[in-house]
Amino acid sequence: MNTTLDKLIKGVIALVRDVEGEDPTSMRLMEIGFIAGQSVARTGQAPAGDPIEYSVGGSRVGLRKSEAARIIVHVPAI
Amino acid sequence: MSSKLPLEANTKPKSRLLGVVALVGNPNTGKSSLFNALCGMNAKVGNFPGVTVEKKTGQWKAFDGSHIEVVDLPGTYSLAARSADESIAVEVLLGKSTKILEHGYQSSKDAPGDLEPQPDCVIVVVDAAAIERNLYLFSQVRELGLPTLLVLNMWDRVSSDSDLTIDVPKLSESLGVPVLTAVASKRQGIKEIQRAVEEMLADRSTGSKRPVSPIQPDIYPPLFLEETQELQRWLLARGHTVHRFEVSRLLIDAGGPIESYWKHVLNSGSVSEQKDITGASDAGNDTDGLDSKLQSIRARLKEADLSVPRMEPKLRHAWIKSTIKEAVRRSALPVVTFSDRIDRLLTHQVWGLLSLIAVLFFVFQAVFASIGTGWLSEQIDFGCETLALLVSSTIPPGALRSLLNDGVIAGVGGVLVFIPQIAVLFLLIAILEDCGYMARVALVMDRWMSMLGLSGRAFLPLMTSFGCAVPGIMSARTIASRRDRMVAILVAPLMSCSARLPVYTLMITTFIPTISYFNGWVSLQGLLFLAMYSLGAVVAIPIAWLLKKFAFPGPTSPFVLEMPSYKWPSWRVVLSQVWEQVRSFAVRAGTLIFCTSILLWAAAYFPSEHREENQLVAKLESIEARSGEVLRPEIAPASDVDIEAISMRINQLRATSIEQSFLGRFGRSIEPVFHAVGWDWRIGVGVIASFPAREVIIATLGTIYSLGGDVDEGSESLAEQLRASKWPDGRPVFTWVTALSIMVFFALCAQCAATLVAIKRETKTWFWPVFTFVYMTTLAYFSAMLVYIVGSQF
Ligand SMILES: Nc1nc2c(ncn2[C@@H]2O[C@H](COP(=O)(O)OP(=O)(O)O)[C@@H](O)[C@H]2O)c(=O)[nH]1
Ligand SMILES: [Mg+2]
Repeated sequence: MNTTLDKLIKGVIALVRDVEGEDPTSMRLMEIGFIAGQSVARTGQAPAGDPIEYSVGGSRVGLRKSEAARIIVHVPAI
Repeated sequence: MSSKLPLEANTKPKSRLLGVVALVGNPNTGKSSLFNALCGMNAKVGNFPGVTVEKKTGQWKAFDGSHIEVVDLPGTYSLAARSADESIAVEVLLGKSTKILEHGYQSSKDAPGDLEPQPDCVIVVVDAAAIERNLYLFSQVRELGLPTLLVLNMWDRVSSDSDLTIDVPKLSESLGVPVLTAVASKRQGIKEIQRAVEEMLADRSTGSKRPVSPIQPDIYPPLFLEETQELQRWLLARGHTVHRFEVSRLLIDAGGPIESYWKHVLNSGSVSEQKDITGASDAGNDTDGLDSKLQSIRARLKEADLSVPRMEPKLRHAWIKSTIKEAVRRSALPVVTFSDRIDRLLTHQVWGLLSLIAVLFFVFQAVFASIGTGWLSEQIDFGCETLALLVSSTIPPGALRSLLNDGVIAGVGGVLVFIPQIAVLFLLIAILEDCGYMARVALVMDRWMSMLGLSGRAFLPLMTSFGCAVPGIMSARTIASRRDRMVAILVAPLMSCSARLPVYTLMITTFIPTISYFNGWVSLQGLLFLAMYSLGAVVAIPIAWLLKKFAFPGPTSPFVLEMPSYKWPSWRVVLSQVWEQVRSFAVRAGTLIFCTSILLWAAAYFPSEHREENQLVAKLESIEARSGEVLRPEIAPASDVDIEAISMRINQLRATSIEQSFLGRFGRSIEPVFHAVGWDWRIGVGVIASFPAREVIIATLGTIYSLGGDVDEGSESLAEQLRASKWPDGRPVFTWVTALSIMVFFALCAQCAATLVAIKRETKTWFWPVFTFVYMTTLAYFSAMLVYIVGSQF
């Protein structure tokens, strides 16, 4: 099932499919490790629930929900 | 092109320069740690992105006695630079920097610095635990065609991690460059890196040529290579020999810094590098020419499914994946690390916020608790007193003695007493930075920052400003959005920096009663201290909102921030930072504050008549000396009366002489301005003198009160002198209201020349420092007035 990263719940490991857009933010997301095929998981969040911290490619990245929504992920069916 | 500038001719070090090596890498991979280890230097290291915002150079000695220059660069994820600190790395690597090394090169004014050579060799520093992502930058750097060395730093994290294995020889083979491992923070693997660099540089100088066609055909499809060649030829026809790599960046980074650079160059028609090549006469239309050229090429690429800029990450990641698949093995699943578990707590809905508050409160409490209790401050105090006594006993009363005691010792000594507190403050800040918590603070604060229209990233410069606004303002370079960056720069000086600490301390401990609540857990003094510390930050909220709304309107910028993993702070890093800060504080006391103290002393001493005063002091001292020696009880009563009468006369004389001095006349002529905030002219003059640096107030008050105050100055602390000072009608000058209005003024006022200069440097105009100065001073004055008016009602 494909969804966007901001909707990913804790404890589920998803695979990055694509990053939408070609503005600097999208490019930065790709450079920082959100590339097709990488596995991602949600590891934490700010007290307000936004931004969210993700684990991708051996590093941890904090993203706002609006940024995470650019990232399309594949969640394997359980 | 190579660095065949007359290097040896005009460099300062005596030994031969073997070459220049640049350290590049993603943020927080240990570049500065490696730099320090390589050069035995002390660049600032910290466990959050954006600590290094300037390039910094150092050197080490090679085996043959020559030396190697090292340039530490700000971290970047990509050579498609998107923020001010990142573009420094790009400029240096492309040889466009105006001052890559401190010494020697002439730089041209009109062209933005084409004369600087590229470095001779590049060390790409990667975090081995996140090697896949880090190789993105490597794949760009190697296209520069410079000799490149890959350093797998943080090797300790890989060897303890069973989910990741890296086969170093295999990696080196498939990447085609030497690969070394290192633990920069523990200084492991440093010698090997030095040897490897020396070898690479020696190879270069013995004549084996650099690869000339550095764009790697293994990444880009043929069409792209053809198009870059086409653009390169187009530029050559206009008289510019441009490196293939730069051409590719020009093509890919639409609207990026390279594109604007070339537009600028073509527009101004300045052919800085190849003056000898003609043919650039029709320069007027070249900007439009470049625009349409780029557009047509980009359109062709798009048709071939290679639309820029998206094609770049795809191609590079594909290359990384295929290149390292033999050498790097990682378990497919993300692992939950120890760091993640800490994060669960520290970014938790409830605990996250509470821990942030607790941490901040602990910092304040610790700094507050260190007031006046430090062994060091007692020693400094004691030292000052001893010195003053020594001066009094060896130098006769007069201008010289007054200069030393009232000017220098009362001034500079008064400031040095605060060293322990400054040390504690910076110790805690350094620990917070190095353990990795700072980035979490940015994450936790993002929500509130975005209400102001800023991103959580803007919180880091503000946090740093609690230590000192100058590095805070500089670290705002890591904020990609210009608008956010400006807002952060303009409110950073409101954060309560370490130089305000002495002012708060003096005022609070002298004029606020020691009342405590909750069985001594919370003290009134402590609460007030906290309040003063928060005041600037609280006031910054509406100011930032107003600035963002009216001066720099724009959408809320995105938040993408890498979270470094938690670790134990390294003592080397922490202590060297504390040392650095304490040292600069002491240097300031010895230079700026020293000079201000002397100037102020002179203004307060001259042109008054001091003859009678000096005679009386001499007389008094001889009486005291005699009664001390002889110790005959029967003559004591008589000399007691004498002493009292003489002391009173001296005090009178001193009070009039300071009032009639230049300073006194000036101060009293503008006294009405200070009356509105409840200050007498002495405080007012002290405040005016402390506009270059706010901690000067301690020194100036020390000097003013020491000159105009009690006779036995050696025994009286500044606090006691302040308590004793009176208005002409006999009311005490200092009450808690006065103290509060002074503190509020200092909390909000822009009394720091260094900060204003930093703002000028970062914004490149004098408008913004002037703006900051005006808004902060106005704000400070009226807030102090409000405090005084409201406070006087009680
Ligand atoms: N575990 C580990 N930590 C390191 C190593 N090298 C540096 N660090 C830490 O990583 C953090 C970032 O270091 P810094 O030199 O500021 O990185 P820079 O941003 O690339 O200049 C600091 O907390 C260092 O103490 C290493 O080899 N291993
Ligand atoms: Mg650094």
